[in-house]
Amino acid sequence: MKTSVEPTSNNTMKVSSNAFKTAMKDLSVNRNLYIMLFPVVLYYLLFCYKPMYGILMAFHDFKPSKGILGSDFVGIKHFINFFSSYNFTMVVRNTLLINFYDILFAFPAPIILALMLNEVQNARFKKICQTITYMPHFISLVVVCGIIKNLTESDGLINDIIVFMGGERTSLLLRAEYFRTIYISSGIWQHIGWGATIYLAALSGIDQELYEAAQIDGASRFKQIIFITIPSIMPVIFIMLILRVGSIMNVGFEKIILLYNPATYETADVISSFIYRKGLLEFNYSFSTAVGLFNSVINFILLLSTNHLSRKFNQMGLW
Amino acid sequence: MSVKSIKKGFFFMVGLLMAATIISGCANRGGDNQKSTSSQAITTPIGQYPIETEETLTYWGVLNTNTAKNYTNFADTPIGKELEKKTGVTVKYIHPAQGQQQEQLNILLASNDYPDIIESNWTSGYPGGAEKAIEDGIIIPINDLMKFSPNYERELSGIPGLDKMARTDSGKYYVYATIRKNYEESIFWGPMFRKDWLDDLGLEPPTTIDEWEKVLIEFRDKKNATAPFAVRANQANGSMLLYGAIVGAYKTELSWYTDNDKIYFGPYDPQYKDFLAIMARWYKQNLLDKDFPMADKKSIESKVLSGKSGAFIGLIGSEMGTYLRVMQEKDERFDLIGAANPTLSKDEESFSGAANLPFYYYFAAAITTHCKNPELAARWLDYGYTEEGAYINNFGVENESFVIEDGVLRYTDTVINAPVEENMLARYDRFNGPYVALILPATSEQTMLPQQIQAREAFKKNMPVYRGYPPLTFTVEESERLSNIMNNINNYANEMRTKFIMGTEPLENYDKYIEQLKSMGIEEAVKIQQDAYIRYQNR
Repeated sequence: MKTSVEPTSNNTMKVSSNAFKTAMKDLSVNRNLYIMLFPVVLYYLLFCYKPMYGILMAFHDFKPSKGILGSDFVGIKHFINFFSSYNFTMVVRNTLLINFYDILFAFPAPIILALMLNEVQNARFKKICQTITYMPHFISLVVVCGIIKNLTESDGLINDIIVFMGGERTSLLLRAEYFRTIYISSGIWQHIGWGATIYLAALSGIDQELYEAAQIDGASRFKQIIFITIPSIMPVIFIMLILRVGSIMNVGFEKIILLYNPATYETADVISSFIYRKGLLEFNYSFSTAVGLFNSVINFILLLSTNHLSRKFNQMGLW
Repeated sequence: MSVKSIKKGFFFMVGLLMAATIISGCANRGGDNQKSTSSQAITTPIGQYPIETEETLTYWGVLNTNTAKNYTNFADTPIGKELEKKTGVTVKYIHPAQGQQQEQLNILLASNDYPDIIESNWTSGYPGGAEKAIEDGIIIPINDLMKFSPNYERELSGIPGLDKMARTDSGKYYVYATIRKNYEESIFWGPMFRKDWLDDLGLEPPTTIDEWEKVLIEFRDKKNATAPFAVRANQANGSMLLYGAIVGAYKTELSWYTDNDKIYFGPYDPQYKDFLAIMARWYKQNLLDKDFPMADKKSIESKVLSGKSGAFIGLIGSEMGTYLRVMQEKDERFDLIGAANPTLSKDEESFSGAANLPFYYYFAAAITTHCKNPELAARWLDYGYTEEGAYINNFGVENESFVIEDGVLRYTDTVINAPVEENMLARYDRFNGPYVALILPATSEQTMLPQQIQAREAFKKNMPVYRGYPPLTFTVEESERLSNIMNNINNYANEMRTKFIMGTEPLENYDKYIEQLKSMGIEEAVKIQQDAYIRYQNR
């Protein structure tokens, strides 16, 4: 999609004075809008741009009493420490794998749920389903992890079922090979309903005439989903996907540290839990900042490249 | 909703996302160290209370979990009120959320806005240790303030070797720590067994590893225990309650330990393999709790109380005492017995155990660089080391919670006869902090069950020597190197121990594991520790 290009004048002097006039006019016309915008801009300046100064910590040996610039400048020492650390390959691999599986399984789940809910004829039933599926989203993560621990321990419900089916009791959270499955499936359970709302909103915006036309042409309900519903919400899906890929190096550390233990470090330890241990528990803010910065740069590159690819192949992107 | 407007919205969100992920940390507040500008001279003579002053102090520290059952702030407790009355100083206490003290302390330290006094583990808890904390400009050495703390100074010279523990290598005093007057008595934990099960099976509490195995097998087969031996394995839950008791039979430890003037890292010892082998065997035979890497205090409690476990390594007070009291009504036969740490052969002495140092530095109060009136802080902190102050901190308020008759201190009936739910004893005990901790035979008899007293006596056999980690100090370079090496190694050793025991990593790979430790720099870490230990001995 193209953004319209403003007509330009030949005379540069004229342009600047014209531009100023237009800006002032715009300001007075849309005054209320700008007033509404102001707190938002302020929020970003204060909480997002101002703290960016803290990135400098990554290049210093930060000591609170000396301040950031007062601390010794050490260049890229912390980055070298991270790249050469024993954990480096493991945490990067785990972070990428958890996100990869998450995109593979957890990303399509709310789309499928939204499509199914969209086909439900009984409005009451649909509402009930929606409410039930998005309720878990509001449960505190600590509680969710407590439930997961109870269900997966060696005398928990899941093990009872396994034994009933003829299997053997094992504590599932102690098996490194099951960690991702538990992590992602519980994530789907918790967030599927919440994630579906945005797709439901997109679905409600589809022109009903399209369906009527398709019915007249004799398309089955399944054909209607394939050829009308999915293409109509495709832009939303792609935007969500680009955003998701953009955070491929991020995994929330809270759930990880609530669920992992020494037996599952090899699949469970991720960059964010590593940062948490280094920064908050070991008081090594500079090192943590360096790792965080590395993380953000990779995310940024990934976001730009997926957007680029999306524009190339689908003619749409975030910008 | 048009696609375009959704896109615009999301464009904005991208901005948020990018900015949010890039940010780490907090804004700089500059190094404005308001160095002590002693406001008003204190006219009260040193060592006399109450101190006449208008000034107040701020105090950051953990509120003990037992106290937290009844109070949200230490100032509201009977001890807090009594201290304020007796010292004449109003103190504002700031407590971190339970279980988050380390995070909250680190955030507090990064804020560069400190209270007057911070109670924490400054000796080994702050990365780099006390010397680094002083160099980083967080706490101040208290050598010059010692003249305001005559009682603390006296206590430090009262026990041989204590003064050495309280100093850094360069001779700086830095904290007001808990001093355990009768530290030989302060034995808190050890192996415990279901006495009623042992009686049923006609067994004695085991003393060797072989006997242990026999008992656990009987528990498994005849008492249907699904997790006969329950242990806490997660380091975060308190390393002393790991398998501390078992590992000692193999003449090693789970972390650093000292033996004949040398310092060792247990998981790097050859004999550590034998310990792993026996634990792996017990795990395989369903003698060890299958869920052990995730076990915590709660899960062990439920396993013991529900009869899934018959042996565990527990605390005399909050575990043995609690279990016995809880089960009194539910199951009359439920009984526990403490046993000394096991050894390999009958006539050996246990290598590891429960002995403590008189200098308990985990909840030690340090005066910060932001303290407005260090003299007042030093005088106030000194009160805990007076006889009167020690009694208040240990036993509460005279004539309310305790009385002194014929020179013997005893609890009053209101405390002793109060129902368990009222938590009376805990209300009149500070548990940890800057004062002299006392254990008096008369009060122990009043407050402890016979089983608890028996357990303490049994555990006393454990250990003639303190093998733990003395309060060493490192230079800044050493500590940086050491934390770089050991952070990785601790994680790795912890992970591998769990895997060896669970059998997911065969024990044949032990040599590879040792090689890995070597390549991670264990030899260098041992050398740094050894150097520091030699310096410590030469203090």
